[in-house]
Amino acid sequence: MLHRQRSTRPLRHHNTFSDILEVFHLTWETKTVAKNTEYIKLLPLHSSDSSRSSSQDMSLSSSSPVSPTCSSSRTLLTIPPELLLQILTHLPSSSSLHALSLTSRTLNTFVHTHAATITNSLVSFHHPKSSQILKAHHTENSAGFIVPTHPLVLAEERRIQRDKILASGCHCLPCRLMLHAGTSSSSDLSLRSSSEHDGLVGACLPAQSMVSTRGNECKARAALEKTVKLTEPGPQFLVFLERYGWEVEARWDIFVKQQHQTVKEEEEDVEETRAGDNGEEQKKKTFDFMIGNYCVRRFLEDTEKELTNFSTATKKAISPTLTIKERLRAKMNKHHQEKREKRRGAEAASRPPAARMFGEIEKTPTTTAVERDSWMKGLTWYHGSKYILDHEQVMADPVTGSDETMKTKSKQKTRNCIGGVKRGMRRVGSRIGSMFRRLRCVGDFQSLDD
Amino acid sequence: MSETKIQKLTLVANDGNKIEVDRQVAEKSVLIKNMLDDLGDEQMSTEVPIPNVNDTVLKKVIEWCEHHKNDPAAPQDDDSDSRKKTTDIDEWDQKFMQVDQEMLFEIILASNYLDIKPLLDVGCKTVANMIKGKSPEEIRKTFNITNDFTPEEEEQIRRENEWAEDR
Repeated sequence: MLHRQRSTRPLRHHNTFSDILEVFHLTWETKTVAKNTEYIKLLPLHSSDSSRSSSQDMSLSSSSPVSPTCSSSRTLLTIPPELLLQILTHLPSSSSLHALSLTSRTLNTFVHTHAATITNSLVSFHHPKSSQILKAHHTENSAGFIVPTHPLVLAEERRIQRDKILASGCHCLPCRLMLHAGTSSSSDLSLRSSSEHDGLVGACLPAQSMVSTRGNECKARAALEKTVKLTEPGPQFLVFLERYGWEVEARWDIFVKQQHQTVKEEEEDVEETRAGDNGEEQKKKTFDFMIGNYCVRRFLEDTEKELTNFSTATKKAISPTLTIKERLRAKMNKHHQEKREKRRGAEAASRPPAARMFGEIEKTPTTTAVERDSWMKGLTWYHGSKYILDHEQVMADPVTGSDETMKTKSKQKTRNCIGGVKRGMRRVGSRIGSMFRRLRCVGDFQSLDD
Repeated sequence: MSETKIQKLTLVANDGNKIEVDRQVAEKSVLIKNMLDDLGDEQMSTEVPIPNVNDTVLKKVIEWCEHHKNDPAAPQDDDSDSRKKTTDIDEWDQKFMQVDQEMLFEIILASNYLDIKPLLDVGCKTVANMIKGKSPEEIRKTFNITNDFTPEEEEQIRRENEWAEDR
């Protein structure tokens, strides 16, 4: 069970069931209370106004030992946290967490406190095979989340960063080092290991210091900061598996099947062993390329785009300095966008299905929970609410953040702006005046006309 | 060693009610099974107190155990594929779980206490199915959860929802 295992202490000397049960209850209750205490410690600071929701706060469950008949009424909020975690593990997709985290502060706090545990259990419960293929486990920087450590994922992330640096045209030292550490071309099938370069770079400038030394003059900075990675903490890997897990498994099965065939052929013809080795390597490279290019890259690019949209949309919406003009413009833009989308949708419906790229495969038309629901909700419950918390912190900040301060600041800015324009106008006026005075001194306006 | 296994057990709920069950049924609970293994058949004539479960819930749990008494034992390995990738619930189990929410959570707690993994899974799946595909407001209504977000947070949530629905 979740919180209790069979007692390892010798039980033979107990005489009755009551004695035995007493031992079991004691062990069980002690463990549960200990767990609940741990849960309280884990609660983030932002839930400090617990007085408002104290009747529902799950931390209260620590005060009562968790036994089936302790409370008169059991609800989702009063069951022990470990059981709630067990329930969440049975959710078919991570998008349900989005809705759940928006129901109440208690559940929001719970989902965020246990984000790593929930994500990990969903990964191992629903996607054991694909996560194993991508060698998912904990790393130093994953903050409790299990992340893929397969070289194909790491190589694809490096390539994306490299492409961004190339697109920005930045030549700062960290960018140059990163470029040298990456692969030679985005269309390169070889995915060659850059361990030598990594070693050199690591020796001269470790990864952390590279980030920290990236100065303001770095042109690629903004683009690189926006980069979403599967190897970073968050539910990205889970959502990736929900979207592309089937493809990873399908391609892996094809690869394994081909491998078996090669082994059989080799047994028949021993002389061609060397050629077989090369073929196997080539197949492995093809598998890496297909997953990297068609799944990892596509997912990361989509995610980055959607998260940027999300961030912009919510930031714009909460900006207190929006004027009526800006609001009207935003409304008009939305209206136009809706029209455009409708037109595009109609066009897409009338158009024949797009031709697939080389090596691309499509899923059989079954509707899974993920397809029915928006996959982005699987990310926003973590990243979106993190944004809310950030915003909350800014608003609560006594120096920079309060609403009044923001208003005062914007007024001051407008005043400064108007003052600057006035000063400029005065200067221009005085210059024109002085020019006319000079011309009058010369006394020959007529000559100018001529 | 000639062991004649006792076939009936008496379980005592926390309100003192006694329920007689087959040993096979009672052994669906890993807690009871382990105790029986540890104590041996000499102690079997005594009653088994279940102090954390009341009569109604215990009867319900026994009803489930009786229906599933011939099911093959689930593998001990937590990562076994038998539990994975499915939110489907057996038709009989679905009907069995058509109880009020309080009873549903009591069953989950009792199955957790008595260590009946398949019943715990069915309970958790039922609750998970009640959550899936619902909006925050619908979840609040289903589980009678009070919305304790501040108006600002609520506004932000509304916008987030709007954005998410547009996707």
